[in-house]
Amino acid sequence: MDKNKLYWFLQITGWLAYALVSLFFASLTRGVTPILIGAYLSLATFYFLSTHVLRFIIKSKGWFDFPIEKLLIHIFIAISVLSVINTGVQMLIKIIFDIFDASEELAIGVLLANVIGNYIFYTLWSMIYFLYYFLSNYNSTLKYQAKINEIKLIQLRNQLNPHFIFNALNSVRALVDEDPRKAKSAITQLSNILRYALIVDKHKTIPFGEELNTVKDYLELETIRFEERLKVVYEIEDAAYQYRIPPMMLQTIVENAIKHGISNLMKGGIILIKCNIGILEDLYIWVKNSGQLREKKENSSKVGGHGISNTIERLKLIYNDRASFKIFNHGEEFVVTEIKIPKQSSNLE
Amino acid sequence: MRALIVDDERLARKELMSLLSNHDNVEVIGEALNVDDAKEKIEQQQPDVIFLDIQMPEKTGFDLLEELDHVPLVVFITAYDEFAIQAFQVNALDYLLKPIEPERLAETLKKLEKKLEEMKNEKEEVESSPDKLTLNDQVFVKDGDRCWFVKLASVRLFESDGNYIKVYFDNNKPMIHKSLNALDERLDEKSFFRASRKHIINLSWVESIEPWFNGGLVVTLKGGDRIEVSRRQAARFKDLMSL
Repeated sequence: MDKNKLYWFLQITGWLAYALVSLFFASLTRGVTPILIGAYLSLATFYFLSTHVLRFIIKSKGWFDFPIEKLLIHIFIAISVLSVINTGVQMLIKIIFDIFDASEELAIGVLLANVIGNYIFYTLWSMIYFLYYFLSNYNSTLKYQAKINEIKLIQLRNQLNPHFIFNALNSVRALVDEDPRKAKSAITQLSNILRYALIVDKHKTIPFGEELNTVKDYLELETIRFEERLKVVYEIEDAAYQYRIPPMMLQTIVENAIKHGISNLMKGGIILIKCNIGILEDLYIWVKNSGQLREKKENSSKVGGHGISNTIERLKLIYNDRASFKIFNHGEEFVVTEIKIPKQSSNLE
Repeated sequence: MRALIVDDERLARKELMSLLSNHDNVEVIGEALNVDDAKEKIEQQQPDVIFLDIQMPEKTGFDLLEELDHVPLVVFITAYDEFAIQAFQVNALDYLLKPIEPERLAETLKKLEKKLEEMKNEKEEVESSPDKLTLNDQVFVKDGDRCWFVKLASVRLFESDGNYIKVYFDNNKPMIHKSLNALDERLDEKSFFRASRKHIINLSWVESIEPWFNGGLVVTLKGGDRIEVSRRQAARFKDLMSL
């Protein structure tokens, strides 16, 4: 049942039950008369309406957002006012049904007892109302937090690329005996990459050189693993180092080039990273790798397509339409990924 | 035990070699760089066990197992692939994660030794022609994301379906890409019987036999599958089953 339906259900059955129970007790001494029925139903209707108005005020004035002391004071005042009005309405009902006895009803003691009685019912209503709200809210906050944490965890895991890390560690283990110096530098490179992956999401863009250094560390580690099966060539124009680019973007492209390109080829292949400045001063980053884009099978599109759509989305968020992303087959042996990054506006830190 | 290492990365092979060199009971008889290389070496040298990397270029470790007629004991090796490990549900002898822990490897080797011992005893009980697949042999079956090592003793029925064969065991009937004729030649005829063009049945699963039209027979297998034996095969079947 959704919250709104639940409210109406409880509101109607609750106050109806109030009317019936009161009627029952009254009937013990006075017997059931149409007048009594009419009077109690009218009273229940007033309770019904007045609590509904209270709910309207709570919702429209945003009482839920109040700090707890302020909330308690507001409720206390509201309930007090309602209790007094309700006492007045009770008298009105009695007058209408012609069972009003002024000498009895207007005595201070009776009036006070009436107000306190009403007060108890309004308090009960408020307790149920707020208790339900806080409990269900607490529950959904927990669920929401859990979901957010899960998403963050998946993101982090993707960023760390566990397949690469464990393979790299495995190569390093073998390297310790074979070439201890190389093993040492491999460990440094691996820690550079890990550190980079952990800190980058704090920035929207970073200097091109920083990203390129990580990519270089990464490719050197993969060269240890693939040995002669991986050749890397860099053709970087000096001006490229003045640009800022979104972090982990080039890195992701290069990782994909390894994962879908080199590692699927028995003989291995090359990766060429070329960066130059276009006529309109845009930065063009070209990654050319051995391999071929294949028509996606249904189940693989999730993995491959996700990285690409993610990159396109990020570019759009940061640069609107001024950046672009392309991936295509270059002849029958290579795949090219091309990103265009516009010349910097200084607010993208 | 005689072992073959299958991995496309030289350093990974070297690392495993050096770990295995600490164990006297393992003799590494060779290394293979890819699936085709491995297939050739396995068929030639018939190792007791292969240490098999799952991710390799062009063909994966699973592809290798599918291509083999006679699958030795297999220990899977992977860096990180939860799917591959999840997929491998039944009868996995073991798998190791890179980088390999020496203690974990020692445990695996113990398991292998035990398994080899068991298999040796079983071999002595059932003597049969060496080239044929007997009830004690296991086959590797992959269907979509799920894989199994199935002991032939638990397969009750092979059914041809186009270019594929459905393998019936437990509650599963995955498909393998093979012809029934080719399979029939490989199976030990003391244990398996070609009931008709469509079916090969496991004789130890036969529960009852009834006469059928035209001199044919209907065999009921444990579990309830009913298979028709063609007239031509019925006579041979009677011969085989009678004293």
